Formats: sequence, C-alpha cells, structure tokens
Amino acid sequence: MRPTLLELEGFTCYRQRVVVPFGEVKGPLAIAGPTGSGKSSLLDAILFALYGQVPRVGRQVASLVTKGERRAAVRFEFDHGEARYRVVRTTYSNTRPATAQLERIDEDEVRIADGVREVNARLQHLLGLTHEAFMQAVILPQGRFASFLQARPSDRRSLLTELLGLEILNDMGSLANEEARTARDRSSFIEEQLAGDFTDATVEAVEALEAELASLGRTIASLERGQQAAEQQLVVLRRRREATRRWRGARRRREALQLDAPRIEAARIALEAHARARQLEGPRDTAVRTAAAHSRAVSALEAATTRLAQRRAAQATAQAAHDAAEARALEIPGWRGRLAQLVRLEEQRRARQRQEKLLADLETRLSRGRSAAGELEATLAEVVAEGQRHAEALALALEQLAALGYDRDVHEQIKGQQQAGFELQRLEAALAESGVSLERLTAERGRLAALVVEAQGSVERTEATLAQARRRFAQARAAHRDAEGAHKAAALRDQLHVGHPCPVCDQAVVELPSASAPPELARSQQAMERAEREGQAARARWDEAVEAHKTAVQRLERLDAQLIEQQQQQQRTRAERDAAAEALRQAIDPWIPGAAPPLQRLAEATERLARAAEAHDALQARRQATERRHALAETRRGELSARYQEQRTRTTELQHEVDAARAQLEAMRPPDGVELGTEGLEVERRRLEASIEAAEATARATGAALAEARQALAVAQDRHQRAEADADAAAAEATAAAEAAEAAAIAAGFASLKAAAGAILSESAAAELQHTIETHVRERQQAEATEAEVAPIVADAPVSAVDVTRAEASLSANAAALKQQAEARARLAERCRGMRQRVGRARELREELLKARARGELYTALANELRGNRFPAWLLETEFRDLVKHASKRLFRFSGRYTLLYEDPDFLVVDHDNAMETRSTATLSGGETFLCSLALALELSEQIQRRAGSMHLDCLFIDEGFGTLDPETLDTVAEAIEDLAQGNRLVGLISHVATLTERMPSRLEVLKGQGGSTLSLDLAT
Amino acid sequence: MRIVHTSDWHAGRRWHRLDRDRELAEALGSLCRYVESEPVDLVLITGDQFDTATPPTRALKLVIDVLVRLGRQAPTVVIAGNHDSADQLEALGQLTKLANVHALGHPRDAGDGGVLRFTTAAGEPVVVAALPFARTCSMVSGLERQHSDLAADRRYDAGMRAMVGHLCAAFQPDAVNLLLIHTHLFGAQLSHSERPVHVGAAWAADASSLPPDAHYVAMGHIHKPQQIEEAAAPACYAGSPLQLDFGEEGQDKSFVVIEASPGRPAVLSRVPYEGGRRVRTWQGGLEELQRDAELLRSCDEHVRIELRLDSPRPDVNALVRELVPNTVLVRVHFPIEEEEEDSEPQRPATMALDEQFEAYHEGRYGTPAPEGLASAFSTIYTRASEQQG
Repeated sequence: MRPTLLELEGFTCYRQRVVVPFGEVKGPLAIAGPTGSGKSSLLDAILFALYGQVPRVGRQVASLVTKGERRAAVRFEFDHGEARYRVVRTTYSNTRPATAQLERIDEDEVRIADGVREVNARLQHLLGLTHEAFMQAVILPQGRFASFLQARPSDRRSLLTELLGLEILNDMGSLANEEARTARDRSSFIEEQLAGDFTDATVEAVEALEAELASLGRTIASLERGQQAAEQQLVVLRRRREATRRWRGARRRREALQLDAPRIEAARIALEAHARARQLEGPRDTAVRTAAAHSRAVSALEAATTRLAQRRAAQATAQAAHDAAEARALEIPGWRGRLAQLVRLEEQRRARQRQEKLLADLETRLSRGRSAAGELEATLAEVVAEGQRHAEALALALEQLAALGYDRDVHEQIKGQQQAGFELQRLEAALAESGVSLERLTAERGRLAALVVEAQGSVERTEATLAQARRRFAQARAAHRDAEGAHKAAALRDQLHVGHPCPVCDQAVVELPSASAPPELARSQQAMERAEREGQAARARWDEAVEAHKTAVQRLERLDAQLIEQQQQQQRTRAERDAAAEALRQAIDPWIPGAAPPLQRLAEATERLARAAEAHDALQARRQATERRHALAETRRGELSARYQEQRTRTTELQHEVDAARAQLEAMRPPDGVELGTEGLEVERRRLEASIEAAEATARATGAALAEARQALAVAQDRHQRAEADADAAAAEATAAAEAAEAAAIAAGFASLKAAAGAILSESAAAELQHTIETHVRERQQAEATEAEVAPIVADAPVSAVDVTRAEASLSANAAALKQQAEARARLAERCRGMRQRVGRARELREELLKARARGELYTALANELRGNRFPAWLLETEFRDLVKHASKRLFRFSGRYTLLYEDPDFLVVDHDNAMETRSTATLSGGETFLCSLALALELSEQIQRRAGSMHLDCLFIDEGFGTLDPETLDTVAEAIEDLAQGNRLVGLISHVATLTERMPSRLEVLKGQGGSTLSLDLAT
Repeated sequence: MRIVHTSDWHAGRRWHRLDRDRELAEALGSLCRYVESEPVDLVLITGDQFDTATPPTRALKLVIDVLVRLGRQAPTVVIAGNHDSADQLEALGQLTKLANVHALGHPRDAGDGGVLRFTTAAGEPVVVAALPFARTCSMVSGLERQHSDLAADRRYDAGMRAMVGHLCAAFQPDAVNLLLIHTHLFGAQLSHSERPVHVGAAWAADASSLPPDAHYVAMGHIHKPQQIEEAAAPACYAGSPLQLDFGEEGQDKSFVVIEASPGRPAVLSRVPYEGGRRVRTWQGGLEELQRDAELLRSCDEHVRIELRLDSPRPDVNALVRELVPNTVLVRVHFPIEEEEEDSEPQRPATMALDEQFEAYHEGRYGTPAPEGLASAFSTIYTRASEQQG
C-alpha cells in the first residue's frame, strides 16, 4: 500500500482544506512543525481513512471534526498491487452518521464499496492487516519502539503474541478442548445407552425368537388345512339344502298358476280390442284438430271487427281536435303585432331614463362647481387678510428696530476693552489681598515681638534657677564629703587602738574619740545626687529657654523680612493698578463718557449693550420671519385668485350644459295615455308570447295525432278482411275430416267412432294387462323347469335348515381358534423384527463409540499441543529468534558495527569495532538504543506483514523519538532512513529536530495558524 | 596564471567518535600557507566543504577562517556538494562575497550567477562555469525511477549534459575557461567513504558530457586524488585533504595547481597537504600485536586492528586498546567463520501456521505430524479464524 494523495478538510486542527501529494514525494519525507501543530494528525487521517477509527478516540470519530465545523472529510488515494484506490470518508459533529466510499481509480472510476461497514470490511480484506497490526507495522510511534527492547520478557512475549496475531492459538486450544470434551461426552453417552437399553439385544435372542415363530407357523398351517376341509363340506350341504327348498317351492307355484288361467284369458281379449281401436287414432285426430281450427278462426274474426270500430272512432276524435287548433291559430298574427308595439314603447322609456340620469349628473357637477368656487373665494379673502396682517407686523418691527438705536460698532469697541477691564479688576483684587496680608503680617510681628520679650524673661529666670541649683549642689557635695570624711573617720576609729599608731597621722593614739554615729552616707549621697540632678534639670531648662529665645528672635527677623517684601509687593501692585486704570479710562472715554470710574462705566455699558444686542437680534429675526410670511401670503393669494377665476368659468359652462340637457328631456316626453307601468308592460308581453307559443304547439300536435289515427284505421281494415277469409276456409276443412273419421270406425268393426273410442285403454292399463299375461306364462314355465331340474338332486335325502346351521356353527368356532393363533404369530414376528433392529443399532452404536473415542483422543492430543508451553511457546520462540536474527542484520547495516544477540532474558549488543565485545543494551547510549529499537521495530513490521500474508506495505512512518540523538547517531539514522526509502517506498519522518528534517530531500512543514493548521510542501528542490 | 583546486574537506565529520577538525585545520593550514606565499590568481573549491547539512559551529568557524585567508590572496569560487546544505552555503556566500569568496549553493543559469568572470593582475580574463551538486530527484522523478531505470539514467545524463553545455557556452577563446562540478563520473575510483546515496553507477555522469574546450575541469566528490583520462579536457578530482576512512589508506593527499594561459593547454601539478594523521590497518595475532605495539603506538596514525583469534576472549578489546591507544576499531576474526549468510535465503512471503505446526511437531517428536492431527489442526484453525471475523 503506497499512499499517493491525502486530502483533509475540517479534520482536527486542519480547518481549511489541505492536500499532501504523497505521490510526488521522492526519497524520505520529513514532516516538521512546532509541537501540537498537527503532524501526528496527518497519520491519524490516514488511519481514519483506512480503518474508520483513530487510536486517540477509538470509534468516536465525531470528535475528530474541527471545533466549530460541521463535518470532517478525508480523501485518501493509494496504490496497492496493480491498482489504485480512493477512499473517501466524512464524519459529522452532530449525530448524522458517517459516510464512506471506496473506489478503484485506474482507467475509470469504479465504486467498490459504499457505507462504513462495507468499506471497512473491504479495506481490511484488501490490506490484510487489522487496525492494530497496521499501526504497529506502518507507524512506529513516539517511544513505543524502544518498549520492545526494554520490556520484561513476559511483556515482550505478550506483545509479540499480540502483534503476530498468535492469540488465535488460544482460541484454537479452547476449540480443541471443546471438541475433545464433546467427543468424550458422546462416548459416555453411547456407553450408557449400550449398558442400559441394549444388553438384551443379542443374536441368540433373535434366533430363539425365530425358532418359536417357526413352530407357531407350523401349528397354524395344520389348523388351516382342517378348516378348509370343513368349509368344503359345508358348501355341499348348503347346496343340497337349497335344492330341496326350490323343488318344494316350484311345485307349489305351478299349482297356483293353473288356477289362475281364466282370468288371464279375459285380459287377452280386452287387449286385442284395444289394439284395434288404436288404429283409428289417425282419422279421429284429424277431425278433432280441424274442428278446433275452425273455432279459432271464428273468434279471430270477431276480434278484428271490434278493433276496426275502435279505430274509426279514434280517427274522428283526432280530426275534431285538429280543426279546433287551426281555428285558434288564426289569431296569432294579431298578437304578434301587439308584441312589437310593446317593444317599441319599452325602448322609448329607456332612452328617457338615460337622459334623466345625464341631467341629474350635470346638475350635481354644477352645484359642486359652485360650492368649490364659493370656498375658493372665502380662502382668497382670508389670504388677503393675512397678507395685510403680515405687512403691518413688518412695519411694526421696522419701527421697533429703529427705536432701539443699537450701534454695533460701539459694542465691538467696548468688547475689546473687556480684557483690559478684567485685568484691572484682577489688579484691584490683588491689591486688596496684599493689604490684607500686610495687616496679618504686622499682627504676627507684634505677637512674635512679645514672644521674644517673654523668652528673654524666661532665660533670665532659668539662669537664676540654675545658679541656685549649682550652689545647692556645691553645698550638698560639701556635705557629702564631710559625711564621707566622718564615715571614714568612724571606720578608722574602729581601727584605733590606744597605744597603736593612728593610721592617718601615725601618732600613737592616746584616747579614743567619742563615738558618734556617722551621718548616713547614703542620705548625703542621695542629697548630693538629688542636688546634682536638680542642677542638671535647671541647666536643661536654661538651655531650653535660651534655645527658645534664639528661635523666637530668628522668627521675628524672618517675619520682618517678609513684611518688608510684602510692602514692596504692595507698592508695585498699586503702581500697576493705577497704570491700568488710567489706560482703561483713556480707552473708554470716547465711547462712554461719564464721571464714574472707568471700570464701573465699562461694566454698565457692556451689560447695556449686550442686552441691546440681544433685542436687536431678536427683532431682526422677527422681521425676517414676517417678511417671509408676507411673501408666502402674496404668492398664495395670486395662486388662489387664478384658481377662483378658473372655477367660475367652468361653472358657467356647466350651467349651459344643464340647460341643454333639460330641454332635450322635455322633447322626449311621451304622448299622454300610452304610459304603462313597466310591470304591466312586461306581464302583457309575456302573456302574448306564451299564447302564441301555445297555439302553435297545439296546432302541430293535433296535426300529428290526426295523421296517426288515419294510418291505424287503414291497418285495422286490412286485418279484418283477412280474418274473414281464414274463418271460411277452416269451416270447410273441419267438416270433411269429421266424415272421414266416422267411416273408418265402422270399417274397423265398431258400432261407431264413439264406441271405438271407448275400447281404448290407457297406456298403463294396456301395458299392465300385457305384463300380467306374460308374467303368468313365464312363471308357469319357470316353475315347471325348476321342478324338473332339482328333482334328481333332492332325490332321496332332503336337507333341512337345521343341518346347515349346525355345520356352520362348528366351522366358525374353528375359524376363531385359527385367528387367535394367527394373531399370536403376528405378535411374535413383530418382536422378532424389533429385536433384529436393536441388535443392528447396538452394532452401530459400538462403532460410533469407537470413532468418538478416537476423535476425543485426537483432539485431546491437539489441545495438549496447543497448550501455552508447547506449540505456542515454540512458535513464539522461533518467531522471536527469527526477529532477533534479522534485526541484528539490519542493525549491522545501519550502524556498521553492532549486531544483536539474545540471551534470556536480555538483549545483548555485539560491538564489532571493539573486538566483538558484548554489552547489555542497558548500557547503550540514547542514540545506540534508538538504532537497536529501530532495527527491531522495522523487523517487527516486516514480520507482521509476512504473517498477514499481505502485499508489501510500501510505506512507513516514524513518529518522533529523534530528539535525544547525538549528531553522529543522527547521521547514521538519517542514512538508514534514506536507505529505507529506496525503491518506491514512502518513508515519513515526523520530527522537530531541524538537523534531521533539513537533510531530507522532501519536507512538509506544518504551520499552526489562527484559523487552524496549514501545510507548506517543499519537494526535493 | 596560477590556479589552486581543493575539495571535499568534510569539516565537522564525526568518525568513530573522533573529531578530526584539528587535523583538517592543519592540512588546510598548509594550503593557506601555500596560497599566501606563492602568487596564486584563483582558488577553486569543489564541494563537500562540510560533512552534513548542519555542521557544528567549530567546523563552520574553521571553514570560514580558511575561506577568509584564501580570499585575501585571490578570488575564490566555492560550490556546494551533496553533503552540504546548498541553502546554507548560499547564505554564507552573501557575506563571503565581501571577502572575495564567491559561493554557489544551487545550480544557476549562466546569466544568473552560474558563470563568473575575473581578470587576473596580469590582465588575463578567466571564465568560471560553476555547477554545484544537482540532486538526482530534480531531474528524474520517483515515478520515472520506478518504471524504468534505463530511462531514468538517460534522463539524468541528459540533464547533466544540458546544464554543463548551457554554462560552458559562455567560454571565450581569449580567456582561460574553467568548469567546476561536483558529481560522480563514470569510471572514477571510489574510496568507499563517499556517501552512497549518490554514488552508484546508475547516477554517474559520463566523461563525454564534460566540455572539450575547457582549460581545466575541477571536480569534487571522490576522495581519491585522480585525473580522469577519458575526459577530453584535463579533469581532476582534487581528493580530500585527509585520509577520511580506511578505504583511503595509502592515498597521498594533495591539492592541484594549474598553470594556464588563454590559448595554451594547462599544465597540472600536485602539492601535498601537510598535517593531519594517516590511517593504517594492521593484521595479525595477539603475540604479533604485542610485538608491534610499540611501533603502532608511536606512528601517530589512526589504527584499525584486524585480530586473528582462536576463540573469543572477553577482555581482548581492552587489552588491544591498552597496547595501542590510538586504535580506532578492533575487529576479531576466528578460524571458522560463521556462515555470514550475506545472501539470505529468500524469506517466504507468508508463514502459514499449519506449516509451522508441522515443523514444530517434527522438531519435538522427530516424526511428522500424523494425518489426523494435521487435519484437525487445520480445521480448528479455520474455525478460529472465522470466529475472529
């Protein structure tokens, strides 16, 4: 399967349509782009196209639709074997079901499969790989392929099992076990059956039964023979009995018949007469027939006569009616004339009506015209009045304007001075402010001066206190010293001993001084310290006062400076103000004379002029408005006037028209008396029309009736004539026939025809007689014959009924016994047959048992071999070794120096460049691990394809994993990949490692944008 | 005028974990010294300056240094080879132009920069037609390749001829005419260190496609220094400055010096590179190795040891490398070579489970699987396959 084209739209991050023309790619294709841009999505798209599912989301493919889009569509074309295919799938973000089509697109496009299920099935069949196998064989995903190398042996085994589809062995084992179990169950079932039902089904039993059957048969045979003999005897006996009876019966009959003979004779005579009479039948019939015909003809004649009379009457009636109708019809022309007159009258009336309407119409229009004219006149008057008003208002406005006497120029000038006025005002204010501030400062100064004096006083006071405190301290110190001295002296005094030298003056002590308690050192010390503290405090206070005084003086000085400054400022401001005032005054004097201060004058004038300006503007506006209105009014007036004139002319015209119409109407007045109400006219007209019609119709009808009646009469006459003729003929015939019949009767020996008639018997009577005669004769003959016949048989021994009955009874008893025996035999035969069947069945069962046992053993053996540790293990082992061997070769081709070994449970790498040193794969660098894993993965892919028996998959995608490779390994890998891409195989490389992707001749750059991802294709420049 | 032709530096090449750029720097240094000391009018560099499309910075620095030094002495023309990134060389060229080094990455039309013109100090005009490596896929599509190799070959050949013809049409009779080209010429001797993607008889250009009226055809790609006798005009592969791999053992590496004047045939000579280490292969047994160890250690070459052993010794690698530290690789050979199976038997396209079961049975019990068992296996297999769906 070699991809040639992939097209996506609305698929994951590819909102817009992107196309990858795989068919144009030569050599390896690098798929590069930032993380998350959608590189792996391209592979997902291929998986989706082929299998309708994607590992990330399984079968929930609706989530593959780009967010916000309605549908995702993928079109994927690929070559496979000799053919090129196209599969198109769409899936929707809502619940609408996904669609799929598969076509073959070589010379023409042939749809092969439609609908998701069918397409999936066809593709799986075509590719020969399940979804998982395809993924493993074709797409080597990020990091997955190292898993095989580094997995635990048990994981490796299960992985290999899964990939090569060897789980089927499990199923097979189960199935084999099932088969074995089924076979065993069958065996035991058969055994049970054999033990239960068939123990007695032996050949010997059959034989015994057969013997019994045979003997019974013999018994029955002899019984049957006896029966036959008895039957024969019975037959004879019956015959003889029969004969006896017959002989007796015949004799009796013969005698009875002889007695009956005379009756029979009489019957014969009657019969003969009957025969003779019958011969007269013919002539008699003729006579009767003709008589009847004659009477029929007579009655017919009567009927025809009656009918003729009827028809004559009818004709007369019709004639009368017709004459009446004709008389009536003569009135018609007169009526027609009247009708025409009426129509003319009607027309005239209508014309008059029209004229009246016209007149009314014209009058209406006239009145309307008049009223319109009246309105216009009124409106015109109004407008004129309005115009007048406007003119007055205008005059007024003009007056007022003049009265205002506003001079714009003056106003402008004044406005110009506005600014100067403001300035002057500001200066005034400043001046006032500085006056205020000066006062404040002066006040402040006074206060500060007082403060200085106070501070000075304070300083003097504290100084005095300080001197005092010092003095006190000096005193306290002196006191303390004294106390110390006294203390020392007291202490020393202890050491004084009379006669010993004084420690102070070294002279011998003569007498001890009087002990006196030394003053409390502590107390004096305390006093001294207290005095010292007081002194310090006083000093501090003095310092403070001095400081305060200094500060106050400083502040006073500063304030003085400020004051001077302020005064100077004030002076300046005053000067400015004066100057400005003067300037202003000069400026406005020409325009606003007066004595008041210029500012005041300015303000007044400004206000005044402003007001005047307002009023002036208002007036101007009003004047303009009034002018406009006046002009408008004038225009309207003109218009209205014209219209009014027009209207009057029109009205006059209309008046003329009305007069003319009225005159015409007068002319149309009808002459007096001929005015009929419309209804009366109408009624009469209808009446006349009806009458005319009726009369005409009647005349026609009666004419027709008359003709008919005439015709009927003619027919009846004709008929009557014919009937007369018939009657005559019939009479003649009848007479002739009667005479002939009579003659014949006499000839036959009868007295008359009537007598002959009497001799006739009915058919049945005649027949009966005949029959009686014949019977008698026959019976007599029979009886005589029978008698003669059986006489010899009976001869000597007549057999009675009783004899026969006895013989019959014994026979039937015998027959019953025979039947019983026969039944017994039948039952026995049945048993025998049954037994034979069972024996046969038993044999079959035993055979079956053998087969089932054999089958059970076979499948048990198979299941045994299919156990995990037998064939599956061997298979796995073999596959694995195969894998390693070929992967090792591949690795050597890639790296030029490494091969692979497998020593349970690890892989080892043999380094040919280092004297075939073996190392565990755990010691390999990242790059080397990569190469090993790649070799294994490629080999796995190969094996998967071979196991699936599929056509070679001419494509391979490697998804990431290159990030950890050093440059040398990267080089090796790049070369290996280029090598892989030999032939027509499509090798796709997904990586973000630039050094690798830049080396590939074809590059597909995935660009992540705002609206989704797009592709930029760079094919082998 | 005097022209210098060098090629196939392969800077940045990692060879058995060794980085040989320092050696390359030495060799190229000798080239630069020559160009600086002798009066040279033009320098030609015919491709594969770098070993990969993304060379390490060190290599880039080395190459730029050399180019700058060369450019200072004489105009230099550089073309891209099959190892280089054409785009990168073009980018570099924009700067090196300022240093009097003209670099072409992609093949161009004559008017678009494919032909360069110079005038030497002596006033002799030079016309240089420069044809960087052209990828086969730009001339032959994958589909063509698939359908017919022969047709594809002819397309490639024709394409090459056309490009060469177009560029060499600019030759002038009163100038020295030169062609630079990076390709595999049919009949050249390989060293097997050339990258196999391009090397192969299938994509070889023919000597007849070279212009007969060139003074000299400078060729790059093959690492063994050689002159192509079949060509009508003097044509040489300059060869690589170093012995890049063991296939180049014994080759003396040199650059070509061409004396040429308009209207007169060129005179060629070779100047050896100085610097860089050679490669050497040593064969023998352990005792011999120990005897020669001293010699090998001191020879300052990259050594390949082909060791004969009777039986595997796990420590032999360490031993050898200790004896001879400048060993690059150690191959061991045993008396009875295992079946290398280079030509592997054709693996069956599919592996049927039934057949494998037979093989298993035979292997385990010594007898082929009995008929009943084999058919039972097949039956169960079919059933299980159907169950799987």
